[in-house]
Amino acid sequence: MRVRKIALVALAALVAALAGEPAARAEGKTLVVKGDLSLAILADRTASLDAVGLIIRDGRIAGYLAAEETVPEGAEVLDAGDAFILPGLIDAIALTPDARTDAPKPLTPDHRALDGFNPYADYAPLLATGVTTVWLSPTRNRLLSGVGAVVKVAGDDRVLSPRESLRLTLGGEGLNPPAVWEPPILLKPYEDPIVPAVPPPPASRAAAMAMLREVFHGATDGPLKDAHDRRLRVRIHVRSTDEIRLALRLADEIGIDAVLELADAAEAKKVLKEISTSGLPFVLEEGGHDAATVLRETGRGVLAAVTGTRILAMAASVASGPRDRAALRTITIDAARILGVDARVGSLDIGKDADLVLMDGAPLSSDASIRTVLVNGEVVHERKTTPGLLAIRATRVLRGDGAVDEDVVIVVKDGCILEMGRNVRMPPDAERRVFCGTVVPGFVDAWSHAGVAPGDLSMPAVDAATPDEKTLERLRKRGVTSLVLLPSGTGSSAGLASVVKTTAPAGRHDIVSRSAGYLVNLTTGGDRAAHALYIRDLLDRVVGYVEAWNAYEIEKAAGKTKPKAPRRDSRMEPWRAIATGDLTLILRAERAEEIGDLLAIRSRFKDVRLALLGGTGALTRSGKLAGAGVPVVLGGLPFVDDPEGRPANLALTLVRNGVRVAMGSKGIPSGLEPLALLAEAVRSGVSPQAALAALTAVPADVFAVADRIGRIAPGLDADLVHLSADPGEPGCRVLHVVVGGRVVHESEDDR
Amino acid sequence: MRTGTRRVLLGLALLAVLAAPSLATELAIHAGRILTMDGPEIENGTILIRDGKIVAVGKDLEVPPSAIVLDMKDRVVMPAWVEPHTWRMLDRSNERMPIVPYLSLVDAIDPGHLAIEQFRRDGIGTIGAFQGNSTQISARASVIKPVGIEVTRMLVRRDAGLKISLAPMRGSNRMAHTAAIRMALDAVRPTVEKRDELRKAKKDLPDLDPRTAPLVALLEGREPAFIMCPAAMDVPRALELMKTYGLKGTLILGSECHKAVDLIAKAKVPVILGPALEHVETVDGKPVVTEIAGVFHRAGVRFALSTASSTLGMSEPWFQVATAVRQGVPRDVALKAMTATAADIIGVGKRVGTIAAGKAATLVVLTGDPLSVKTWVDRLIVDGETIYERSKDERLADLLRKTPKPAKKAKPAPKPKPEKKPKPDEKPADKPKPEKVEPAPKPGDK
Repeated sequence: MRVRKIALVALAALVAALAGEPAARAEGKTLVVKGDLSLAILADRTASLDAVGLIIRDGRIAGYLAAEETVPEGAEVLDAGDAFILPGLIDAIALTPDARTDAPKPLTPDHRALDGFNPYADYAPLLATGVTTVWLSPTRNRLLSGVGAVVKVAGDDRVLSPRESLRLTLGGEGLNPPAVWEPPILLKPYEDPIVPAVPPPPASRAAAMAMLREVFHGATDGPLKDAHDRRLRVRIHVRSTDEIRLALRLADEIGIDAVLELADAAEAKKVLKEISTSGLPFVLEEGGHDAATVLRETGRGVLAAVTGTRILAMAASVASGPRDRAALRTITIDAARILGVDARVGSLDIGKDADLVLMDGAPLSSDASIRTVLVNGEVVHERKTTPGLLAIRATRVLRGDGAVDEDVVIVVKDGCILEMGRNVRMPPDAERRVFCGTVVPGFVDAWSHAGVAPGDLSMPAVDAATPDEKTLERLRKRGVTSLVLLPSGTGSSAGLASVVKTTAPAGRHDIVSRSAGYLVNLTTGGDRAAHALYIRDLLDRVVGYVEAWNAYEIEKAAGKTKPKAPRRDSRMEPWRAIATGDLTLILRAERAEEIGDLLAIRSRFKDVRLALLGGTGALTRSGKLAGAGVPVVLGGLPFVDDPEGRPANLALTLVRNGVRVAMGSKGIPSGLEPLALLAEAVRSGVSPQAALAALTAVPADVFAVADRIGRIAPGLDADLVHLSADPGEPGCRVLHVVVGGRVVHESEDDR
Repeated sequence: MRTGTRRVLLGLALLAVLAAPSLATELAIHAGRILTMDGPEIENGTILIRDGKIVAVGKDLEVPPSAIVLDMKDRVVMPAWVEPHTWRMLDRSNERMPIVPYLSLVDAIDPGHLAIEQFRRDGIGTIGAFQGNSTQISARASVIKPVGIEVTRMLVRRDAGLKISLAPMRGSNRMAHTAAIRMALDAVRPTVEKRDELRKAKKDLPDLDPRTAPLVALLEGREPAFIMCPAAMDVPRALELMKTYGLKGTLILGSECHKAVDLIAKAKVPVILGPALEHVETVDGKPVVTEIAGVFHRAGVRFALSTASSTLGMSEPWFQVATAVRQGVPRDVALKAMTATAADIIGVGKRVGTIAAGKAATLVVLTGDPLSVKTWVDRLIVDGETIYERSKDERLADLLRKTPKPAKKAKPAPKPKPEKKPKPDEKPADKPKPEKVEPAPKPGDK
């Protein structure tokens, strides 16, 4: 019997334990917000935060995530990337509820701003500016208009402080209530009918001051008594220097906890010393240079944006730089202190409400943008980005043709570069990237056979190629964004070359140019002279054919006689574009003699655009190639033996002689390794610019796709590679690869 | 001398007649269906009434031979409707003075008002008479019945509570409006505290100043408060006022207040909804309709429904109840929202609202199901006395005479189209309306 009892108790305990456990786990959702905490605002001015994320539990900041720490199990992660994490911004005045119908009485300390607050309204416009907490002001234009409140503009529990600061307005606005004063209706049961219930408003400052002294000293309860006993702050709105002095005197005389609300920073600056010695905190309703001086000299002020002003813009106007912590404190923790809510909001200390602003770009810079706003750990605002719009702030840009830009913004729309330059603004609705290394054009492999089957001669190489996503991905990671696909045939007329991107959506090539050149092999072996002669004859006939057609067209256009059309020759047709220079003739030549044949063709056919593919024997012909203006597409590493059998750097020799050089992988299966090739070229003496051009601008020119790729310029495709350093520098690696405006590769250790 | 004696004799005879127990009126109603609102429906039951009060209800009751028998075997009998909040029969709905708890609406009710005749026609047997919403603290409300030509005979409950309206009056904002209400309540606080001390010391309480007495009663919880919230933002203030001043009572809600439903549910305060039971709001350029009664029911809030003064359909109790049913409120809850619950909320739940022994015989006799569009109010019985009979409704008859097509059945107030209304034997909630958007039910909802 007893045993059974014990067992029952044990069972009950077990059940309780089991039931208790999931409840405890479900109690709070854990969220980890990752981002840049280098500007984290903490209550302690001197402290800084060495963490990569905030751990948020039950809507509060519960801890920090150190760099080496792993995310707690079961936690949701909001990875803001390189966005700065700031506490939710605080506006020391943001809303004056229900101000349309203000009371006609000058003194209404019993009015509460909270009564006019609509917690069910949508404050999206305010949240979009990063403001999560505001001081609700009672109406502004009366001597003593009421008691304010501190509220959040999102979240469940919006009221932080139902009674905060009695508002006192000295000066013109306070003396001229907005409505016409009406005598009270006589039938008032609670007030003595002999004395008017509503005293007439004071018209002069003397009367106002007398009235204020009397009501503060004479108060027996309510807000005035609380203010008199320093249990409630008094916000004194002042504009001119004499009003400021008056406010200081009043605060001193009555002995109230006053907060000055300075409408005019220039006026405040004139009485800086008095403000400073009074020790009173203040709220500035105006930014700018004077405000900056006042804030710096006193160190006790905060900012408040009156309707229509962005609080961040105000902070920026008083900041010494885009990352000025002091300026950021005036709209966060300092403001929270002045409003008495620093135990809940204003900083990123543990235990504070998880009200966060995630910002792209330095918070006080002109193109900083608020990405996400959280209140109590819940996302309440997210920036709307326009699809296809990307803005990149780049520290250094090598355009690919030798030009260098520093600190520019590149705006990409629908895959193309829309604009770029130092003064270009990042559109607020764009996806943002900050590239701190060197941005170069996407690399072009000028000699690739990737996926090209030994195919039909007549078809463009792209049609004979099947994209292999694995190979393409490997290439993309190295920064290769385009490939010149050359036909792999070894016959004399190999076929059309194509240019494709290394992105192959849905298994199909993203084609830049279907016919980018026509490849003819001069290296077929056999009788070299006969082969060259054959090509020459062929070109002769083509030229003749083209001329006959041209003559026909001219005669036809003149319209005098009805000319006889030349016979259409299907074998000649493909060559017409070559003869007119519309299609590049790519001649594969290696030996010096073959190059001689090429030069002969060049001198005979001036209109034909020629390019030399291969050219291992071009060492001795570099001067002539330069003279003839024939670009060279090299494959693999550019080292050859000179006639004396010593190793020589072909690329260097060609570049030095003024030959335009493009470099390719020569179709090796592993593909182009641009950074290795660049490093090798630079180390061997080729200038970094020329080396980069050999992988970007030159191939684009040679294969007639310079209107799409090869350079970084407005109007061209946004194919960009973000490198950790200039190409050729030691330790240079790929950080980001952008193809057609999309970030297709992001280095994992990029932080 | 002779005349004097005669007078005395006559008086004595009259007294004897009045005191004679044999003259107690007894009434038995045999009804086809009885919706008691206090338990299951009774088929072919009987309601026994003596001196205006229900003595018994049930099947196969023994009817005393002296009782007058009303044979209503083809009729449905249910408690007369209760309209919890209206000012239709006042001489004017609002008072210019903002704080007037020392006034009583008894002085403003016009017994000859056409609205009272219309209440009878609609089968409303109990009416909560409140001042309009343009007030800070209203005149004292009363609960009346639509009987007679003299207001004192109409009273069911003379002092039924005070309305506090949070709708800012013209020329004022919410801050000033609320501050004035607080000031008025604060003014009587010392009196309340003093009375409390005296009560604890078991001393006699001094007489109250009649001007402040209603507010003292309000703060002492002896009289209920009815706080009008036109918008959701007023709900937190209303609850704060109730908490600060220890008020007991009910919220009267504007249609937007459904946004504050969680707050109301948590505070466990009953509410009066309507007349508009749908809230339409434009979100991203599209109208979003919220079905209010459904929202409040799902949140577990106890609610009564009210009718509009002029809007077609919404002016009639059955239509409001049927709308609630369409919004997913169970039929019995919806019916009680204009009978038992409504009576409870205006403080007359012990007297009317259900058919049970001891309750006043305030009944409505219907020709069919209460939620059917074809149903007529055939007879309204208040305190056992028939005060409306459709066959004797001259104005109705007049209206029907003037109708060009002598319809088989028609009603004075134009009815909404039948398709708007669920048929009684169908479950209206089963008809989903895809274009209506409602807030998702909260976890923990049934």
